[in-house]
Amino acid sequence: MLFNSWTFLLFFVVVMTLYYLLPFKAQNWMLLIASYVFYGAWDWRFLGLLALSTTIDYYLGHLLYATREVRAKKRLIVVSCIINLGILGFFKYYNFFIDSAGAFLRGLGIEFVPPFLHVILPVGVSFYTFQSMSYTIDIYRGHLKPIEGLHNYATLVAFFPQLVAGPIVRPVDLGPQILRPRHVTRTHLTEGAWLILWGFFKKVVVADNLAPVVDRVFSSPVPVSGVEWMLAVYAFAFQIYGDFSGYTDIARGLGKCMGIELSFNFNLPYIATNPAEFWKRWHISLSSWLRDYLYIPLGGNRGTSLQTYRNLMLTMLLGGLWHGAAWNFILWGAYQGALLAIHRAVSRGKAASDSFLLKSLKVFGMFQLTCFGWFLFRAGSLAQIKEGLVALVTNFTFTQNAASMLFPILFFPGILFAFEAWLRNVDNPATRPGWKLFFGPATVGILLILIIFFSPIENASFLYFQF
Amino acid sequence: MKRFLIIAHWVLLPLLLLAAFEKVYRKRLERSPWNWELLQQQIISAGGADFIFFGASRVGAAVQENTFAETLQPVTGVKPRVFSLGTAFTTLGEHYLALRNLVQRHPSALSNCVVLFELTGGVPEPVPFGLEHPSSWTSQWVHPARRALAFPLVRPIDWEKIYSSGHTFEEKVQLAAYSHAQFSHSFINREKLRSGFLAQGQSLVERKTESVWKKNQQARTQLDLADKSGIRRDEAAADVTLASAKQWNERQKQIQKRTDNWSDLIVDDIIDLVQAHGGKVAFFEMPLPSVMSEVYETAIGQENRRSFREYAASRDCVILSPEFKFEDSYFPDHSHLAATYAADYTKAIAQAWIKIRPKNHLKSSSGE
Repeated sequence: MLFNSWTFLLFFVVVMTLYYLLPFKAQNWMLLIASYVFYGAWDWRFLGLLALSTTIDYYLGHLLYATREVRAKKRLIVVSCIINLGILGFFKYYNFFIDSAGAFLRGLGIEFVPPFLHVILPVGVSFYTFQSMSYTIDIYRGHLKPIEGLHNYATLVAFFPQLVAGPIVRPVDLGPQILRPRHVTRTHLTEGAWLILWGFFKKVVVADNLAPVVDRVFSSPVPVSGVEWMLAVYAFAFQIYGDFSGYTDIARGLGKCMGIELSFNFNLPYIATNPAEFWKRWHISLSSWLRDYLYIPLGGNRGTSLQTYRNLMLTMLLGGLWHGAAWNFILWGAYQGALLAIHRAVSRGKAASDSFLLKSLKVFGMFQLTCFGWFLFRAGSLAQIKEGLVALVTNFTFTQNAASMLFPILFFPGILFAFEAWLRNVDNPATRPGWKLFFGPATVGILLILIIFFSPIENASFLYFQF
Repeated sequence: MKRFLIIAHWVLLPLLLLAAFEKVYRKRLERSPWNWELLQQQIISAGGADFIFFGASRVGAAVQENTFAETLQPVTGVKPRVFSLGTAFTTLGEHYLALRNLVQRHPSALSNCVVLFELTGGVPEPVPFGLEHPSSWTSQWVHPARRALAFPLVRPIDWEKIYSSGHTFEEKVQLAAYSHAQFSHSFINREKLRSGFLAQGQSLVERKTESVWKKNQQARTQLDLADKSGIRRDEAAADVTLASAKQWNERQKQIQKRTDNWSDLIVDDIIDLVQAHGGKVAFFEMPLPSVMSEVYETAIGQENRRSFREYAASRDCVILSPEFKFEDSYFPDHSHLAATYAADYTKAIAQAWIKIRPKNHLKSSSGE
């Protein structure tokens, strides 16, 4: 059930009506049932997996809290991690690793037929696994008390706005909001409605109109020129931003309509001047999760410079692998790790105060580096990466196809930029001074026109569902 | 009161903008090259029609309205009013709805009119790829990848057809929602608006940068196909169609089944509708390249052709077999007849009609 579908519209109307009519305790039960219906609409067979993972972590959380002995606590947290990562590994990585092992052995001349599993990837498994892991780890660290009531914890894990594509909400943030009665104010509703509208604009107007431009090159049966590759990668940079940040905004807006705050996930990432800043602006809930649960436990920047670079590389490699079981994601993770390590080595932690021109140049340069990363990320195979790089070097010609790609690449990111500059990341134009009478309603009207008339009819799925 | 005014303001201003957009769109609609609504208006303003061709893009490629009218004129004495609604990816279900809407607005529009449907491989199934054959109201009667074509056609009274169809729940909800949104021309035609805008923008940039890319390559050549009805004319289209046709043939060979229940299918409703409004239904054989006709040459395909002929005769419908010799090279994209041969084929349909036409047809027509 996609947010941008008529079925979801019906679902949302029913859920919100019930939500406002029911008392607090019944609200949580209703949200749990609604979230399972929402998830089951993709494939009901994975509901069992979600329920199993939830139940195990719920009881492990209580056991962890009740256990005083440090070694026993350690054993429990290891069990929790093994179960969660085991589920993720089985469904997401088994075939990839067994295939890679097969290729390696064949390279050594050893005959090996990989025993592949015929399983499909459960939607959103990476998101809810990380969320569930942070619950037991936070209890282990003493940052969180276990949540009372299995249905409350299940509601937290399965809360439908963020279940399949984030943001990755920490139980320490969402838990109290699930447990306490929620008071939905007019501010919540206006902010929620605004975020939903803004998210839809980014998804259906920007991302969905750029998708065919990207696909035309990445799925082309015939070789294309280097300029076409370059333009397709630029288009993909805005497609993935519009798609993923749009999803997050809709999720946050839906949450606000229920009086629940979900974490901020994007903060104008393409104006970052360096890799460290980029990761403070892009998929913030994942980068902060990786920082708190992987980078810092690995040692963070507490050791030597070399150890810090190693930790950065490892964290980003695993971050890349989190996105998907394929070599291009690992390559992308390694590339991001290398960028962070190089930046750290060059800047040595000094904050630079740059002129406007220098800052603009840095933004431009960082955007090119980011786009090269997106090229690795979007490529279907290592062979395609090679094909694109060869075309960039040997056939960098401006063709008629490249000319026809230019219009959507200029138009859709152009209106996105114009709106972002105009709105300056506001969460609620209704409360912006001087906007109440004209600018606010006019912006809503223009966004509505764009959403209604510039969204493709066939619903395009969200890119991050595959992760 | 103040709070109410503020809320009203936030609702009214966006609504006013939407209304202004609708008004602008309706003005543009008049200049729009093609849509169901516009053709319906043309038929109504012509006081009716003498011949209406229905079908998918193959009809758009192969039938020339003016050639057909001019071929008939010496025989009928008047130039008949001919309209072609051949459009890519349209289905028999949509053709039924288009005719139904036409007679609802103008009950005499089909009086004495011949409504012609293409036969592919001897049976009336215009959409080549992706749909279950034969079309019934319980099958997918809108092409799932071209749902926008049905949006201007569905009406609230079609709810039963929508809910009993073989579409997904999402598609049914979407069709039902659009059936209630007919008050807004811009909304029901929004896909046309979006793709038209993008095509204009792309062509503008191509023109402005022509001096740059022409240094590197020749301009794309276009296939010898009619520039209408949603037909792709770029060279890549030939490869795409060939691959789809082969894939479709393989699939059809596996699922092909005998059809002898024509009276339960959409084609029967179409015949009922046309005949009830004083019209006549005729079918005409569409030339197909071997890659597409292959699937109809099987024993089941031949049996279906025979049973449809019997059915058509029993419903007082004629089947025209134009005398038109063709070979595979006549189909530049392996699907549509080349523009070069469209006039000859159209004349052949007209000649086939002249041979079997009722003596009094068109005598009381109000044509030019």
